Amino acid sequence: MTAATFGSLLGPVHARLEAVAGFDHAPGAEAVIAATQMAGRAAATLTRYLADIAPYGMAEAITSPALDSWSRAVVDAREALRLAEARLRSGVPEQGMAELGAADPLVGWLGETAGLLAAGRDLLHSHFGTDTQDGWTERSDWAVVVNSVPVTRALVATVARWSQQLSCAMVRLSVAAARDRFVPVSVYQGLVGAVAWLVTASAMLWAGQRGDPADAADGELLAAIPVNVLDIRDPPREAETVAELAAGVAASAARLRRIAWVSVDWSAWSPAMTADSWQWTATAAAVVCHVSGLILQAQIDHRGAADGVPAVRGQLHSATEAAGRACSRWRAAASAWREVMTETKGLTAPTVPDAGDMTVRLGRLAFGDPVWTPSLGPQVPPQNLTDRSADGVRFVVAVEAMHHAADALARTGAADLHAVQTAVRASRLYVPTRTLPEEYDVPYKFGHATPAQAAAVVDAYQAAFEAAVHMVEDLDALAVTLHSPSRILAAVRAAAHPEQRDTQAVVPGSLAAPPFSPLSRELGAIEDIHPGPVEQAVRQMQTTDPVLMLRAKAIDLAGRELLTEARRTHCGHSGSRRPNDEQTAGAASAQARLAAQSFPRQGVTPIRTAQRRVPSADVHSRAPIIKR
Amino acid sequence: MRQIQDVQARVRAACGTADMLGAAWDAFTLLLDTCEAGVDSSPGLFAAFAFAAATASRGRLMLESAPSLPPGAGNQASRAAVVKHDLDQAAGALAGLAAALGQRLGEAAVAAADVGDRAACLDAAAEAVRVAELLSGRWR
Repeated sequence: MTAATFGSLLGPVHARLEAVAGFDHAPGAEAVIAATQMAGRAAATLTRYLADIAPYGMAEAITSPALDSWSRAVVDAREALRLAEARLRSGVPEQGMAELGAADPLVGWLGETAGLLAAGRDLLHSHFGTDTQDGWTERSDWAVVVNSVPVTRALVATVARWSQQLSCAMVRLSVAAARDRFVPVSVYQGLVGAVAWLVTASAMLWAGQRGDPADAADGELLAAIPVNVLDIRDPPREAETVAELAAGVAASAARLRRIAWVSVDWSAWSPAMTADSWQWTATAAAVVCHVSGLILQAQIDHRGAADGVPAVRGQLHSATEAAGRACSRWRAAASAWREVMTETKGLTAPTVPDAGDMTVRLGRLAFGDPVWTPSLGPQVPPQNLTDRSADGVRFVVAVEAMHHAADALARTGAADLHAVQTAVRASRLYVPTRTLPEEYDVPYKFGHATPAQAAAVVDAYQAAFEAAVHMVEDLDALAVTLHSPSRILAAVRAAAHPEQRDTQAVVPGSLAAPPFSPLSRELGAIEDIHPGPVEQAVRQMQTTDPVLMLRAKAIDLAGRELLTEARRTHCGHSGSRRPNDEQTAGAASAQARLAAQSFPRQGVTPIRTAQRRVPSADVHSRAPIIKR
Repeated sequence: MRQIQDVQARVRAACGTADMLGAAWDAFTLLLDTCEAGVDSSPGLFAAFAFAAATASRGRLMLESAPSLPPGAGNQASRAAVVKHDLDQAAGALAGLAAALGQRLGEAAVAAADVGDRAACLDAAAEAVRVAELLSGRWR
């Protein structure tokens, strides 16, 4: 049982939008209205996807020199989608009428599409939370991946594709609306208007990605993002197949990753985090590494997967050595607890059951024994997983299982290292008094571990963690070469790599900063505002470029806000201000400052004319003329 | 092998809480060192010996809290039994020792007058039983 992924939503969304675009029945007026309403919901969700990616105001996007063309394209597309949504919603006359058509499959498809799109966004959001100061915090290892450049690229491409599909569906729906005289004109006009904005949004996004398009690997990474929940534990059963064993290992690994994330700070206080548990988990990790080494060595000995692929042979040797090193380091970590305990005892940590399940399943995979357990049983040699007559892909499946296990151990290692350090700081480690130096006069059987004793435990975990990371990196390479499904773990690691994060931090279009922030203030108002001087000037040029119109509206809006802010400031100087005004003015002034960089003080004239009229001496004393 | 039998005989013959605790301490030490030494003897035995060693070390640590534990315990040199030649037989002997240890510690817990001794014996008995299970093919 594995968690739902973003990829599991892609197919159903595609299928439903295709169904809407290709329907061949004549829906009634009520169904057209209801479908339009559902399409409006879908467009609203697409808007929110883009707002998550580029949480910048329109004015900010136009004026900020820090934003690249890619980010501007996302902001423009977001506004276009917002307009599409507004068109779709504005046409629908009343709620009651729309509900009459709910039985039509068209409405069902679009309703399900809207629901699936919202679920996909919720899935991405599940990796983030808010802290006590209402700031955004990461809630899983995947949060970094969600914010990464490859996933952002893939998400933009996906929204572009959805917008395109939705526009096709709306074209089909508008034709049906045109044929039915009971459909209000406003609905028909809304559909036609929405089609234009949906196409515009899609085109903007494709154009924005021209220089740096999403590739297949980006799409795979996006599709692999799971919902951030802890699945139900699935203990090993007797006589599981190789594929079931591997799937079970992957499921335990996913649970261990999740547990590692949430339990990392428990060690300061939780009675469940015991020395017994840490020692047991370290022992299980050593066994997993040992068993993995046996599987890999068996492949080398039998010349199975290595045959005909020179790269694999080297990777097998490297991974085998890494597994051996990791095994030794985990054993040392387990041994470090021999004379150290916590004030609570027992195998109570949440990692224990899953580490056990993973060990059992990997052992069964290695020894080919359906009832193998870590306890002493019949001694059999590791099975030959290269036996192609039985199942040609068994070794690749085994690599997948080992890869998941190693990845989970690396994360558990990091979490345990942090947890042990926390336990040391919280003075939770105790040793028998007889092991303390002479100068320690402790009238009890146990005393606090000395700094040297605590450091020995921490050092052992540091070494185990580093060895675990090396092992998983070697298995990354092997998984990629063998095209194992687990190669996505390597992509995840690459996306979450610190260097990648630094790069991403300077790419304004990514989800980097701040992730999933609310939509900018002008959204929702931009469609309704009366044309300002900039928009009127652009209209006078009889331009048909929707991007120009969109930006003109945004600049007008920003200008109005600036004037409002200026008036408020003026009033503030001349009269008393309420305490809350400070905050409001502060927030508004940031927008106003941005707008002031480009907002013209007088009516706009064509740029070339303006440039001719402005004397060179005045250039620096004026607000800059709008430039594109 | 003889060493395992000697320690087991001592555990069985222990009389009184302090004597039992001292014998148990030595038995856990022997289990720990022998299992640790046996870990690399055979790929198939790695897991059993690794978990048994960890469990034995916990059992020994449980005894440390017993007020009646003789002061000399813990100051002896390591005495791993040689298990390289007949691993199955050695594992069987160790499982027997652990089972006897669990049983005798359970009895000692019942007989102990001191609450601290009783708790230590009970906790250590549970670990001894676990070692016996690990070395005789039972996994919980």
